[in-house]
Amino acid sequence: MKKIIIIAALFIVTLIGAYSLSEYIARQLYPQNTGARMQLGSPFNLTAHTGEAITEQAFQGTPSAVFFGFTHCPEVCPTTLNDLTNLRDEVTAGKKTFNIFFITVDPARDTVAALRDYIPYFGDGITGITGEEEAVYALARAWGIFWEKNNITESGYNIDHTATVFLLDDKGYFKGTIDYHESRDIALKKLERLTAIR
Amino acid sequence: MDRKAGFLFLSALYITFFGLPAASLAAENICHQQGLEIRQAEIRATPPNAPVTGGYLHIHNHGTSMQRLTAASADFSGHTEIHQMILEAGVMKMSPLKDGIEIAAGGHIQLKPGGLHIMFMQLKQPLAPSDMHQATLTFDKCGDVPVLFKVTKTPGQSDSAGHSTGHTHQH
Ligand SMILES: [Cu+2]
Repeated sequence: MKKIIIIAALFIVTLIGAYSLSEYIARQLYPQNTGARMQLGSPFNLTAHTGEAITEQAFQGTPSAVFFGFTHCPEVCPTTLNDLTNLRDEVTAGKKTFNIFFITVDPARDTVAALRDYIPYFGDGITGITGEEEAVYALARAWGIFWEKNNITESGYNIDHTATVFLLDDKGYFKGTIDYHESRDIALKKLERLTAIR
Repeated sequence: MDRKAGFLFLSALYITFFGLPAASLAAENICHQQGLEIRQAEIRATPPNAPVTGGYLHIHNHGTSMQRLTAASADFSGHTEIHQMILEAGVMKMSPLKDGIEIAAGGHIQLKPGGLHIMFMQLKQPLAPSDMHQATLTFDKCGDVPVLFKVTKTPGQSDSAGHSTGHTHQH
């Protein structure tokens, strides 16, 4: 009898363990799903390129396009920031607009000072985000961002990273993505739809 | 072999009398004879604090033998490599191409954003839009080819009717 109870108990514990593990994995893989509204990422306390403190509240009030990158990025980051500002000019012509956020995956080199020079080069309404290494990495992880150093030489390194642009509505809810290879027309439609949401 | 010696002698003469531009011309002519044509060479303008950037161009091989782009170099770059980029599950992965890039006889290849590129590293100066900069591309058969690159904020798009600003890549 005792044996059966122990086995049953073990079975239940294993079951609970398996369930929580699958829940945990699901939460890691997929953003929190609150009804039809998904919130990506996690709350954060970081620093904007202006030196001011910034939190997830920055995603409230105006739709956002959020991109992860780094200033030593040869191509994906400048291309994406250029494209987004160009697309925004077109969207803004229809009186609606969105904010652009550039969150570093290279906090060691992307200090506030580095971002302060880099960000305005691409135009107004772009906010660079950096901070303590661990806090920045935690945010990237919460967004499900992949990043990995490669091409490490004595002069530096490159970082392969997720090149997706995340679109949030004016309440900070996830509304879609723009892939790196998506055509300009599709990206424009997505941004027009994003800024039309009320 | 004689031809090569002759070319070297002529090059030396050119350099002596006309300086570097003439030498560039001579080298280009050798490659032209082999059917190599380079077009729309562009470099991405560098944002502040960016010590790396990409170079893009079209290489046409009108010749009858395969050419291989094996190396690149430039005065404004401390280290230059030939790279490829591949988008894998939303992640852009970049890696050097140790064997360079093959351009088949009669073939054409485009180095363009999101794919093959010349990677200029350890930049010694910022590269501003509209500036022209010379770099040297090395091919296995025709040797060093000086190429004049135009710096632009949105490289790789001048072949698409000239008004696109997005990174559309299907032409
Ligand atoms: Cu590269």
